[in-house]
Amino acid sequence: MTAYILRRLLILPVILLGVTFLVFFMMQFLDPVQRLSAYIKSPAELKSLSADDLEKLVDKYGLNKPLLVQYFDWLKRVLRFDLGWSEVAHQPVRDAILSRFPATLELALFAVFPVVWGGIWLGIISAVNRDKPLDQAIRIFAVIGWSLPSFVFGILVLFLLYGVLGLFPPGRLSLWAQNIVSSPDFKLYTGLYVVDGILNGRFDVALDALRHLVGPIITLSYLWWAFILRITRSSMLEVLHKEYIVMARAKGVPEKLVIHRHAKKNALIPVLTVAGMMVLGLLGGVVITETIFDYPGIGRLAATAAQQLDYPLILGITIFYAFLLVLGNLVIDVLYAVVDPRVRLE
Amino acid sequence: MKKLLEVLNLKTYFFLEEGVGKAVDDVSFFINEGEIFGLVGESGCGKSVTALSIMRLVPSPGKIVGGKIIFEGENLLEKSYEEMRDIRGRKISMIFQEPMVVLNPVYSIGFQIAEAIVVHYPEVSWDEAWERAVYMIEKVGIPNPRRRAEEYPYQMSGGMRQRAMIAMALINNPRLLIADEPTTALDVTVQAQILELMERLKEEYKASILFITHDLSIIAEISHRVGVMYGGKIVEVGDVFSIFDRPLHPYTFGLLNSMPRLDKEEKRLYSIPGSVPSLLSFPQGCRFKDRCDKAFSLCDKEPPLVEVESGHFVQCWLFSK
Amino acid sequence: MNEVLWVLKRLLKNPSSCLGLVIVLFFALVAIFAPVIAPPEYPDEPYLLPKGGWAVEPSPPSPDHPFGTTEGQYDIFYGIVWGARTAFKVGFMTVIFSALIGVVVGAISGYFGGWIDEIIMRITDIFMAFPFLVAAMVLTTILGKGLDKVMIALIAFGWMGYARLIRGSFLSAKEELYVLAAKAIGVSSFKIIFKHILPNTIYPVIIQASMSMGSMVVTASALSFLGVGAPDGYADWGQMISYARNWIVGAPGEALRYWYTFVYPGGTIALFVLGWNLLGDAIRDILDPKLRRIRVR
Repeated sequence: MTAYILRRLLILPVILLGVTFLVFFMMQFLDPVQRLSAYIKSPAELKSLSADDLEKLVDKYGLNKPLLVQYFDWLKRVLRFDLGWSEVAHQPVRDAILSRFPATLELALFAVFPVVWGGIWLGIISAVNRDKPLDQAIRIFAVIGWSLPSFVFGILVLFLLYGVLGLFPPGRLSLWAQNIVSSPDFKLYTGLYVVDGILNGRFDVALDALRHLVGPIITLSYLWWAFILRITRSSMLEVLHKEYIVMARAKGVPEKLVIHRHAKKNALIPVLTVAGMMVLGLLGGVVITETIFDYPGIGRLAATAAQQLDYPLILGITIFYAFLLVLGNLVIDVLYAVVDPRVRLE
Repeated sequence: MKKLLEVLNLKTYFFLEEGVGKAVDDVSFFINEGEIFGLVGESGCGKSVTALSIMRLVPSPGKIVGGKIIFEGENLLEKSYEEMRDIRGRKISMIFQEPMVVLNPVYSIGFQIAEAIVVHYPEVSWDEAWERAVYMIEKVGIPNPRRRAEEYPYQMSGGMRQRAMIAMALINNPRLLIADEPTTALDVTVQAQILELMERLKEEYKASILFITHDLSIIAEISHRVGVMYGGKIVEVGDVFSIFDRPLHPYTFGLLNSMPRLDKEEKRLYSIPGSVPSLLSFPQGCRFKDRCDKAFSLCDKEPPLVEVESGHFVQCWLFSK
Repeated sequence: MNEVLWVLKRLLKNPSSCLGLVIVLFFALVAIFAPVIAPPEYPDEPYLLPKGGWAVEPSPPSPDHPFGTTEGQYDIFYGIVWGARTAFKVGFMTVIFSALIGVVVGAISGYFGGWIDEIIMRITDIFMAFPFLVAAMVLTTILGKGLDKVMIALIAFGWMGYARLIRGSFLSAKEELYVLAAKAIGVSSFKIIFKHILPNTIYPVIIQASMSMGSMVVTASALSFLGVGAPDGYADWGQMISYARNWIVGAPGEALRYWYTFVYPGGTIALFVLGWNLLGDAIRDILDPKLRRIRVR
């Protein structure tokens, strides 16, 4: 196991280097002037430039040098987190990403429990009641959730919760709450408005922030349940057919313990990977859900960047996502080993 | 002698998409107290399903559709789930063929043995159950029991795991031990050790054993009485000497002749023609008739079970008038 | 051929896969007969949505526009009919090409093994480091708008699953006797791959391909929904939903006023994906050798 993790750690830089190269490679489809925007540090540098000056800037940043030289120049900047200037956000790309991160983190923290736990719970119920009406109902529920595109279901949720009921608005805070949060008396400890609201004693703000999370959480829960439920169900069914389950029953272990002690622990090992991927997905921001609910996280930022053709921003976010995913997968694999003694001790 | 278990006209069918598979069809036999009863037959003949039926653990789509299983004077098929659960692992235990897949990979050996105590005797503390588990691990001949108890199944050899499983089965001092091919997956030398261990512990714990195997030499070695199964039916039952010396059913005859023996000189081993048909495609009447070299017109009808000599039954038209 | 008939028979036996088949066939018919069902206004550019006027506000269903018109007076019915063609085009093209690339890459990797395998698998890892939607979004943004760009982006980041699948099958198939036997009598590598190994490993690819039809179409639509996919006014379901977005909340006191802008395209795409998912699931159940066996002791 240690050898395996060591191997993964050794490969890690190779993968990350490959990731940057792939992004750089994609950049090459842009013409040098478009690419220039990924290098510029502030809009001042672009102001009052004529066509000649653009050429000069291209020269200055070495955009007509050989590809490999350009790549290593660019890589040096990326490694210093210098990702250029974002027109859309009116700030450096790095700051744009970092400033949206608390919003995404807050949504992730509140969504992870209903998404993962709910899906696993449904999957186990479904497997235990195999082919009975309850299982059929859950499976129909799942196949519908699996087939609904997020942008269809998200809009439907927004329509019902906001359009019809008028209860759960889009955005992250209501205007009045936003004013409180931006006022100097309100201290931002964590950047998570629910937590900060409580810490500042402004429970109304915390409640308002929570209210805005309901729509995205419902959307994510239903759509991702379908996924995690299916995997839990099939894994659970497979495990329930194993000889050690027959053995547990033959020992006289009560059915409840057979399922929750003997079957569940084995069945959830493969589910862990999927759950881990979901947590990573949440941490990276969910592009479509955030866009629909106008939730100012990294996902919506990415969508805006793509719509407005803000290349430095979209490339920067892509690198951020890839790094998050690569490092996160490593963490998941280590966790895997903690849960499964077969992996741990090999 | 007192009968500990009596199986009467047991029928366990599998309801498949393609039809009904009669895995166990009208099977009757009994096991006396303190006896080892051997159930022998080729794979797919229904011997494992018989064992699982006694435990009432037949996997779906299988179902017990008829018969009685009398254990200590009571019909197990009339027990509630909770009553049956209380019997499993306490009065009737089972050990299986593949100790690798039968032990739960994510719990330690000690945990799995101690658990067998605690689920039946909630008043026993976990620490005490653990101590008993360690004692039992030592008893089945595993060195370093205290350390081994904390190990996981995949850290042990096949023989060790089988010993651990025997420890788990005997921990509650059961009246009946069902052993389903317990030595098949093991090396020959280990096989002998395990058999010896089982016989010794049986004496010590005064249990009966239902020993299921396809290996006649094991049956000859350890069992007192034998049932021969073919196609979901018991075709011949008797004590071990009469079965081995005077086999009656052509199938038993074939099985014995296809086994190498030291006491007879033979040029080449006999083999039964054909192979076991699938559960769904047994012929009408005697299920063995298509492979039988003595088959005649009467075999198209189902033969009755007749007692040819005292305690020696056979189901074949050759012996009924 | 017998195998195909057998699969079809099994498909028709199960109500949910039957439903899937019916839905997919229905959409296929709509796509094939699109010029008859909704004759194009501009025959040279049939995918351009006809406009029923210049007003911004959607107008409700009427004899001229059976499903109403959406933002900018684009005809919804026309968009749905021709959008079916778009969906099939995107689905088939992306699935077939990404499967093709994946199979070739995976076959090379698995057959040769060693450092070739190591390098190819690391490249696969690099491609897998990006979330699918984001990667497709970036590449489409860079390449520019248009359905062809969307398809290129989806294929570029969609082949890795097939490659891993085929590589895995190859690694195990390599150990098997028939390959060793073929090698021993001196059959060339190329022939071994195409005649002996591929036919035996192709089922998982078919399963994966049929299961990913739905998600490919959804991702393409999502890109259009975000405004980086199909060009403005193109018959694409995702785009039609993005037109509905501004109107979904309705008018004050009349939440349901513009329901048609969302219900028709949203229902259509959900139904389409449902059909493929049911079908893909059924094909997996039928072809997966692990599920095929019925265990009886």
